[in-house]
Amino acid sequence: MNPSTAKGGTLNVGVAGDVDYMDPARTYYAFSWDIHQLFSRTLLTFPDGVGQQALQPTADIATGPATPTNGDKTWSYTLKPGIKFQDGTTVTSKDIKYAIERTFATSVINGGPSYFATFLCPGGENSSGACTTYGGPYKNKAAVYGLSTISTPSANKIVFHLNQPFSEWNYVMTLFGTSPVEVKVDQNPKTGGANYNNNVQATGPYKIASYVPNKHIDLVRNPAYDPTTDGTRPALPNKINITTSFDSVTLDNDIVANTVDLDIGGTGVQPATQAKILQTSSLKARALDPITGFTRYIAILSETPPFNNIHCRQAVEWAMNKKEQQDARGGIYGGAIATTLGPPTLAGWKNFNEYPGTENGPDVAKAKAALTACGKPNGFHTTIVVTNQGKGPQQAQFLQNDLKAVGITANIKEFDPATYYSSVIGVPANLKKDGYGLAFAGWGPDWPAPYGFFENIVDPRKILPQGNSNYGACSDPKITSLIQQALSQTSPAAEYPFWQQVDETVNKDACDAPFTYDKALDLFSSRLKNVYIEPQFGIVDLRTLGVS
Amino acid sequence: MIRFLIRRFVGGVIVLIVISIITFWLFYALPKLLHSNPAALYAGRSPSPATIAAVSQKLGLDKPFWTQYWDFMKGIFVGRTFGTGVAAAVCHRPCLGFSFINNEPVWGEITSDLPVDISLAIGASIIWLTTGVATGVLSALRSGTIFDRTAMTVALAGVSLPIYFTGLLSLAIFSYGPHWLQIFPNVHFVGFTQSPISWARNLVLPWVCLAFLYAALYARLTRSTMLETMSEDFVRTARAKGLPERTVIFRHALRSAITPIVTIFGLDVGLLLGGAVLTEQVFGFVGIGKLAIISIGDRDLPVVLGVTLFAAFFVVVANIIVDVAYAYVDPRVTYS
Repeated sequence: MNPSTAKGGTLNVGVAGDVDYMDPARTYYAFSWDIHQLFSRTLLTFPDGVGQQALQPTADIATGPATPTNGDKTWSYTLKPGIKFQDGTTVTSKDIKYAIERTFATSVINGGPSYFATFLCPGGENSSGACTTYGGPYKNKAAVYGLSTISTPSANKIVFHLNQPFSEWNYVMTLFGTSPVEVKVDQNPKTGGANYNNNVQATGPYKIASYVPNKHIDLVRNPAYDPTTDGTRPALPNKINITTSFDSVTLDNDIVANTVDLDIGGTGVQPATQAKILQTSSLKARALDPITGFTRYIAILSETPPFNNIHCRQAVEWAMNKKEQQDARGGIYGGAIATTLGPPTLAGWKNFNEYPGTENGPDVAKAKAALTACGKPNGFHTTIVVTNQGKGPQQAQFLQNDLKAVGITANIKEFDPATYYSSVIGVPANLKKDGYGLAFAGWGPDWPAPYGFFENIVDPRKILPQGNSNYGACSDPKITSLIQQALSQTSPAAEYPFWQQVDETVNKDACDAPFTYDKALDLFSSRLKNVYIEPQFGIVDLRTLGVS
Repeated sequence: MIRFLIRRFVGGVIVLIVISIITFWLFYALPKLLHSNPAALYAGRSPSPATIAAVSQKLGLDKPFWTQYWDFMKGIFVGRTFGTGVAAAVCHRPCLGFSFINNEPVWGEITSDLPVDISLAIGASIIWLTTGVATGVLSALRSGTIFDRTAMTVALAGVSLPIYFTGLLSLAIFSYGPHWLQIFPNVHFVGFTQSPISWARNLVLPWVCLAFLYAALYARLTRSTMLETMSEDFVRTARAKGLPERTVIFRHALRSAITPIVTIFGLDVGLLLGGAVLTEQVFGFVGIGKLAIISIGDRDLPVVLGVTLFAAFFVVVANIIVDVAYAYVDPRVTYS
């Protein structure tokens, strides 16, 4: 929308929450990652623009994605020359090695993605996920640059020696844990460790002028940044002001009034504003309704009887009314009907439907037949769990009615969103003990390729005792075997068919029943230029925006 | 008087301790009742058991309840150090800990949000005290007249209309309304030290809305206590002595009627300082009220504790001040 190359001006952004961390190694919110693109460069990044091409990692600090050797275990990257921290120091391969070493110190640097330790722990992590052979660079001086699985043969070369084959490693190199960190800043107790959060040294076109939690983040141009080293950041505005803890309704009104340029939260406008937008053509012209990359689904908890029987699970798939779920989530502007667990914004995505016809409505006959097949022709009783705010309660009620129509009675239990994922559905022992059968869930990928989406939610080996994300507790050995085959492929493209089969198996086994791909109706100010939704986050790409 | 003050001070401290124990316990015991490790909440997505254990240890969540509580209370007076070596985080006194969510010092977060509530309280309280009491006195003196009836009807409206209604209405008219009425576009909080004029300008709408609500209460209260007082014997005596009417009203009647006003005023200002949740929400100010909402939603225990203690502290102190003020306002009250 509104292409332009004019530089200058101040971009005004609002968001209803706050970033979790400014420390690039610790942040895990999608909109926080969008903001980090402005000041934290990474080894690789995603291209500007949309479509499948934008889902393939491209050069940022490194000259390009690596071609692995040694059976997908050795990955070498060359750094571009002329990349500097905001204080003028040149970035070397050691700074990137150190940045990744920090993520091993989970008692200090926690909160962010933990893939580095998983694949770079010498000898592999133990069964509880701890790396006992390297604990981070804070214990003693020898630990700094002490991680043996990353070698830095020269200042502009870095080599990763993974402890197992992993064809999607280039995607891991897009994560902000690879954003370089200066040892002299991080090893100083005043500015480093947990305090680095307030002393982030920028490598991107902008640096942090001020960060006040829950109030605002102000970014100004980074004088040490060399635009000739970068192909993805036009960096048009001179300043970017992000106001956090914005009241949602006020934010919408301000965007309508053009006093704020956009809501970077990416979850869309409030229902009242949605009505206003759809009725006003001038507002509709500056709105976008992208698929965000989140899939909404019902986890059918196979540890809770009678869902241990596949036919009872499939009965739910046939009985669920996806159109009603879509309505509850805001109609066609709130979601698109889903028949696959992976969203269309995933690299290598292909559409399929294991339950044909259900995209239009439930199939009561097939549902009842499934019930008979699992030995419950007269139905059974179960419990639905959902969050108690937003769209959850309505969705649960629709599901309850759908199940009643085929003879399954269900009561609904609602929980606070803050603890729902980590303490309720994330603790498998509790689910089984309390007899919960169906849980509403949503998931978005850590990176837009199959492993980044599927691994934590369907791999049977990833059923954690606490903070679990494999809610359905899918335990089909076929899934494990397919994932292993996928990981041993030598290129992401070769993996796609295996992950495709993983998705199909999960759907056939009815461990998770997807119903919508999330959509969000976003509104922008009329002066905003180069607006589009970057597919890996499902949020507007901050890198390209202009205001002049 | 001194003994009275000491007794009240000790009582206030006890109240604060009890509140802190209860708040602490709620966060400590509730996850245990739900059979889940509270550390999982702060450990990021799909955390390994090792990560949860590390987070648990870092936040001190694996220690027994009284150890955690004692560490927290001690930190307020002498400061606290979390972790060891290079990665140690030092928290100077008064240490209310670090946020579980973004690692910021809680004391810093609260004190940076406090100016919002101080600003709201100062302006609104002066406006509502003066207009409320004045209206009440006038209504009492002109009891039964058109003025009285109009004033009390308006006051009734003020008492019944919630702040989020008056606030949103005022914004709709003066902020987002037609151009010729847009006197206060883009209302947001500006610090006094940043620009006193902008500070005052952005506070006019919240001040007026808040004051309308409280002034109404004070007007009605003042009116009824004045009416009651005006019919007392000592007022008749004062008039009989030939004192000017002005002296009778202000030096004698009002002075006696003011005691309930003083009580309520102290409480109201104390509560307001602890966070004006609805007002902040409506006008988009990030004060202690908003901080409380955010931290409760995030289950950010240290911040919730800090905010709760601050709010309780203001109310306790306000109460003590009010009780002392009694002795000076009402000559019948002595502390011995």
